[in-house]
Amino acid sequence: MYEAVIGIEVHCELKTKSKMFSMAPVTFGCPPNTQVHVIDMAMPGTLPAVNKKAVEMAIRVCHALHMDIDDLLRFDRKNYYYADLPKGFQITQYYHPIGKNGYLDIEVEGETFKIPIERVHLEEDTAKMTHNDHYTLIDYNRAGIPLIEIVTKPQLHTSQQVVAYLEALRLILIYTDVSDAVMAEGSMRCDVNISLRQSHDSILGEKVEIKNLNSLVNIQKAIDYEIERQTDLLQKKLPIARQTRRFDEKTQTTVVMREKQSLLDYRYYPEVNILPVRLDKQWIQVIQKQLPQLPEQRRQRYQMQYHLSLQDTMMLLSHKDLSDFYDQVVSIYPHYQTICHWLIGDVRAYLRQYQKKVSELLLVQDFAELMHMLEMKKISSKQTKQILEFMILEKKSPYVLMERYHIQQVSDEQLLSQYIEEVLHDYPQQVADYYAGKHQICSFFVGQVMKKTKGQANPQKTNELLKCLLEKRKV
Amino acid sequence: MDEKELLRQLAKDIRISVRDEDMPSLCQVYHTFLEHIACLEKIETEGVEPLVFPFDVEIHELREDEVDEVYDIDDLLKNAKNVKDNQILVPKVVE
Repeated sequence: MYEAVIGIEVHCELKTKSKMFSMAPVTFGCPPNTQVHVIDMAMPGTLPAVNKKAVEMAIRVCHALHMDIDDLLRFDRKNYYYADLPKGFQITQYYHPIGKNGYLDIEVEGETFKIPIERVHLEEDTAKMTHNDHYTLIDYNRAGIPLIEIVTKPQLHTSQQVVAYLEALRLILIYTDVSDAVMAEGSMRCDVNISLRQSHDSILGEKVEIKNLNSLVNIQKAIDYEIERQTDLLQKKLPIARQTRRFDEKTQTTVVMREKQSLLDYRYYPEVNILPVRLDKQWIQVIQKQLPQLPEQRRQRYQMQYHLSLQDTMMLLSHKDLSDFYDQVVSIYPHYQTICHWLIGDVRAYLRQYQKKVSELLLVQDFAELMHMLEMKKISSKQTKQILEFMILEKKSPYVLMERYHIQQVSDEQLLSQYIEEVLHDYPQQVADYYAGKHQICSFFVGQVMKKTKGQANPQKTNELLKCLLEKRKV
Repeated sequence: MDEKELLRQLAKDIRISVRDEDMPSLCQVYHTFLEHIACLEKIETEGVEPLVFPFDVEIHELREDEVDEVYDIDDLLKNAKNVKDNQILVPKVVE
């Protein structure tokens, strides 16, 4: 058996207003070559100027990943001749990354792993190139968008660990509010390096890099395939070539992009157009203090204090806006489980339907009131669904809607008993069935009462009273 | 590696084409270049730290995250030899 040794590089676009070194806007999906500054095009006489917000965002991520932060900011040139960056080099941080020696805890099948993170550095994105059969088109809108690159040590061993790491990292990028981290849109991109070795202490085999992976599902498939492919080669005593490969969705395999004979020489050297920037230590501390509560801390709070299940917790955490909304609602009305249940159920379905954030559809106060009405049994579950729909459509408080649409729960025992008696009178055969031992017929009677009251009878109360009345009649 | 072969490889790496008839003059330039390098190599640099900036200074200012005017698309595309759908068209650059 062979052991896989995997290292991950993640590139994440930062959601600043302007680019890393120029004042062009950071956008997605705009017409080609309309979001470009002379600096991005390397026009003679232009000089880069470091974006403060991008540095702040990098510090936030570094802090969330427990990294040592270098307060002397320095940049380097990575020289390569390719049209996706007009300068002929990329400005990056090769020698002095802003963050070093961090880690991220992940959980796989109940076991916790500490994934060491070697470095986080700032750099600029490249232009988007579209390759056709005979030519290539270049759109420079993306050139210069701030990126952070997050590099793990090669200490992951399975595709499950990689997926868990990427999911945890994605949440950190979202909760630190630095990126949308949408893999399908390319705001979070992942390269995987894999090599195999015979046992834990033996020499590593040749490294294969898999690039352009755009979904967690494909990443898992690509890694599993690559481990199988390399194992097969090793078992047949065939050499593994040092290559860059990509995942091919059609064949569900990895295919060669290019052979890597030796390491490309990027001739890194310090970026002479940016003087070293000494960051104010107090500024760094303020950024660290203002960091919102991170997913791991929220997870612990939801599970330990609010007693939510792991599944519900993860569902809430995977949508930051829902988790934020949940925190606000429970701060007013601390009925943790009911609120969670409604948010990850009905509310989440509406978010998908309308493609909106929860704060765009509902007010915290209104939703807390709705939950209070439900808990106080003023309305049934079904009525809660009705009012919720009206709240989203009409943007009114649940009390106003309850009155407008005459929605209320009938819990009055005398009134309910009257309806039940009527139903029992109308269906003598079903009553006889009940006495013959067919007790499940009760739900039929409750249904008839609901029909008579146009859905306003309290179902629980109706059920209780029904059983009482049936027993009384028996005597 | 043979000198001509080396120059051809370098030309390929930086994606320029070199005609055979240009090779002799290119070799000549290359020799002159190597002579310059040989002069530089004679300088004693033992224990000398690389100098990146002429003055040992650190700055404290970063640019605020604000958007300015973008480059006019007509100006941007003006120098391009070929343009298609407002994008710069170049020969296919992947194999």
